[in-house]
Amino acid sequence: MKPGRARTWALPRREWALRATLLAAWMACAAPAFGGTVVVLRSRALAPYDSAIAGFEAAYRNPVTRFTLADTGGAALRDRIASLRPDAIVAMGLRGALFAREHFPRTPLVYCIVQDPARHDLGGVWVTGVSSDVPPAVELTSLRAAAPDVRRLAVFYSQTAGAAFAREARKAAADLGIQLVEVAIADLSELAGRAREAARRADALWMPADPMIAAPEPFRFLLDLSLETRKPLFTFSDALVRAGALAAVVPDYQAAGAQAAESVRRIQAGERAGDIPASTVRRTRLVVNGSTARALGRDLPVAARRGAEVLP
Amino acid sequence: MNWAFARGIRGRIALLLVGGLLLAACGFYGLLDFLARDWSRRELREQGEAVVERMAREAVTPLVLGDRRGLQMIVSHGARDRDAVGAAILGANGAELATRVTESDHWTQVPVARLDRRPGETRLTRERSAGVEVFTLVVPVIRTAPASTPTGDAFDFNESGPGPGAARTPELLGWVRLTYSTARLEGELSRARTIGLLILSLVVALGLAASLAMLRVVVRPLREASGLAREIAGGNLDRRIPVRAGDELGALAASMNTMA
Repeated sequence: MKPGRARTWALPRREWALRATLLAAWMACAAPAFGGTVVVLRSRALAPYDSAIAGFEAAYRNPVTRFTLADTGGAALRDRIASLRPDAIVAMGLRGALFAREHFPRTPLVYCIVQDPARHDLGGVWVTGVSSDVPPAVELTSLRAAAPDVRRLAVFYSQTAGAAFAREARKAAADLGIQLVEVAIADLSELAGRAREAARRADALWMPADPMIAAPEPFRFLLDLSLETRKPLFTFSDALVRAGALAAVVPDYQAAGAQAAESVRRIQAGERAGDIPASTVRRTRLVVNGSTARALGRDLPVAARRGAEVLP
Repeated sequence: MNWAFARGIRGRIALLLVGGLLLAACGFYGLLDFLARDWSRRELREQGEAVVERMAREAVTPLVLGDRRGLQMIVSHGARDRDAVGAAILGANGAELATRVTESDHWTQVPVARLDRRPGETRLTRERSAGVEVFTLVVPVIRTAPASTPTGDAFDFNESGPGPGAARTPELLGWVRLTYSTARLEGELSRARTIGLLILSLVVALGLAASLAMLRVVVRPLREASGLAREIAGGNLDRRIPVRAGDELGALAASMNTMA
């Protein structure tokens, strides 16, 4: 073999190797921009999560891999998600978010429909999301539209976790000309007596999504009190409106899913999850129980009826 | 006592009838009494179980919230039943949190050791007190995660609260106790027994009277035939007896007349 010819072959081979390496590196960096794997992890099978997933898929428009935490064992689910090497995990619900944060601490996490994420330490450079908290001002404005005659509103919250909520609620109520009858409790055993006393002074009852108050027994008690005193009960969930409460301002879950999709796109475009500010759900809807309204002898104003979902 | 009448056919048949009727009446009365007693006890128990289970469901919320007023309302409502001796709600340590007793004579304390901690188990104890039976039903109050209900969905969705998300395993909150007696029932049964006895006596008396009247129809032609036979044996061949019917007794009278 002539030395010159050998040289001719040796150079392109090195060059090809270099080119291949560069191409692989470029592809690895650019892959997210082409839409890599996204895992949607649902805490459990619940209608709000399914609505949010539908909203997410409609906005994201690329295929996603879905898992439900309640259906699969922790270790098996962890291994299956790990084998996919996802670009991002979209967690629908608190349990899914906590699972993802624990097992995939260095995978971008976008939580969706989580109440009070800061309380669960859902933050950091790998985490962003959409909380399901509805600001008290938004809630009070809608409730005011549904019951314009309410002047004094009894609101129940826990002393420890509800301080920030109470501050916001106080300000929003003052802006709307509503007087809040605040019942801040340290322990559930205080609720019954204080709620009965507050109900005498208020025109309506408000049960926010407080970690202590938002449980089945306080709800049943407040619902009974509402029916007994014929004063409307406002809550935080459409399911509780179906169970007998008069009205609730609830997040638009589809919109929340669409907001999560925006965050995922930004992550795939190269932004760090922690740099994308966590947001609250932008759209809400008023849900009213028509039967309860009739039982309480209340008529929903036409203006409020237009934008509300009235359950029969 | 003169038992001579029992030697005649009329006496024997009358004794048989009286004995048979009394036996049938006693059997019927005893069976009726047993069935009425059994049925009413079962009704009482089923009614008590329904009341105590409803009370246990209603007691969950006030027990969780420590709402004594709510508990008192539940026991007052439960003890309103006519047969109830009293009702009580006990805490998880067995202490009475709310009690309503309407008949203190039949109300006793239930030792904590006798309380059943198994979910859904209704315990029934039965004892006699002052001539009546006293039943005590005790059912544990269990707090379980609400499943597939609108409220359950709401709090599952909330996930963060101390509610169902944290309380998946059944939690014993206390017990509901309902005691009732058969006092009213015994009174009702006693009255029913007296009325039943009167009706049965009347029926037996009427039956006997009717039987005796029938016996008279049977025995009279036989007596006449017997008298005729005696007279024929004594040589009086002119005597005749009346033929009153075309049945077997009538045929016997006609045959006797032919013999003379």
